[in-house]
Amino acid sequence: MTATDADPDPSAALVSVVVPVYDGERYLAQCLDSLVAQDHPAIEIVVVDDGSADRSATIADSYPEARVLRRPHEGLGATRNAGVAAATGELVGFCDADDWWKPHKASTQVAYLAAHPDVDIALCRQDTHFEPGTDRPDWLIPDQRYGDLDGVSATSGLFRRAVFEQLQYRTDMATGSDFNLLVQARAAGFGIEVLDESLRVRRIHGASMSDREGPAFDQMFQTVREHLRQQR
Amino acid sequence: MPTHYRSNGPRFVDETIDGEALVMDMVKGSYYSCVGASAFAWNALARGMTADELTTMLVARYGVSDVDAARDVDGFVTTLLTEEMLVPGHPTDAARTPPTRATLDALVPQPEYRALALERFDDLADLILLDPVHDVTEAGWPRNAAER
Repeated sequence: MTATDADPDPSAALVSVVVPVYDGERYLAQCLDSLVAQDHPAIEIVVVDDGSADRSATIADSYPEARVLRRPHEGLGATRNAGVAAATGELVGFCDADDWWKPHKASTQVAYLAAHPDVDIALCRQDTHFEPGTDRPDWLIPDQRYGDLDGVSATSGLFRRAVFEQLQYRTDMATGSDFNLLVQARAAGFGIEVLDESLRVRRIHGASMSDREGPAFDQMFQTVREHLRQQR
Repeated sequence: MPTHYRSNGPRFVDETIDGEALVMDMVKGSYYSCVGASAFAWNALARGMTADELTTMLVARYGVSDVDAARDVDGFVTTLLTEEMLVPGHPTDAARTPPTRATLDALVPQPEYRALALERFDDLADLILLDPVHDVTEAGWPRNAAER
């Protein structure tokens, strides 16, 4: 069948990438460079500055490909929600300001979603980059599915817009709001799958990142507990 | 010497709120719920109590018979060991300090006794096994001490 205006080529779908940033000037340019370099033909970059005190917004402004939203500091969930609200793509992804996407991330996930209409969220594997002088944090344990340290990030997903017509990131969770959204999506019946290919790089650059038994676990428990109560 | 137990951490992590113990298996992604007397029993066993000590405490707290309490505890321990949630404590653990009755009462205030039971759920296994922490904190992105 020939694609028409009413039946557009799904592999050319506009991908909006939301980049929430809060005092992230140190690595933001590498993040944005990786998005500009995507081999997918239709990318919209939405940088949402969450009230940074550093040069994050100025750096983002220097990219003509990026739309920059400046907001008072409200936290990650509200920042992501603002980015989604501003995004116009049929598909929405996220790139934290200290991470970066491999050049074929968007195109690979778009192709997967085009071929799997029953999947609404395509996650992917990732590589882990340690900044020089950074020790392996205690929370970083081998992934249980793949046996290495890289794992699959809840932030790695490319989402159909329909997910965000029904769901939002929680604004009352300092950490774990992406896990929470995936659990909400599972309960709502959206399909979630993981691509085995590594398409993004997460940067480990601090010894102070949340400990596995710190706040992130507290909010995982909160999410699972709420999910369980809703299922009963 | 009677066997005491402990939670099989760090594989299993748990939290008790409003009389419900929630336990997550960070290796398989399963999660478990137990409520009331079962949450009381989980917290006792996971923190160093022997089956005999728990039986005595259940009799005192709930007024259940020795026979019923012993039977329930035996079955519950077997379930927890089968699920690998509990492991035997070290036999020479001289520092063993099982939780007090007051501590457990504070965690699980419900006085009604129901036969000890554990519910297991696997519907979120793939999500629980995702990389659990990579969010910005309220203090901004984490930084090396040298970067601050």
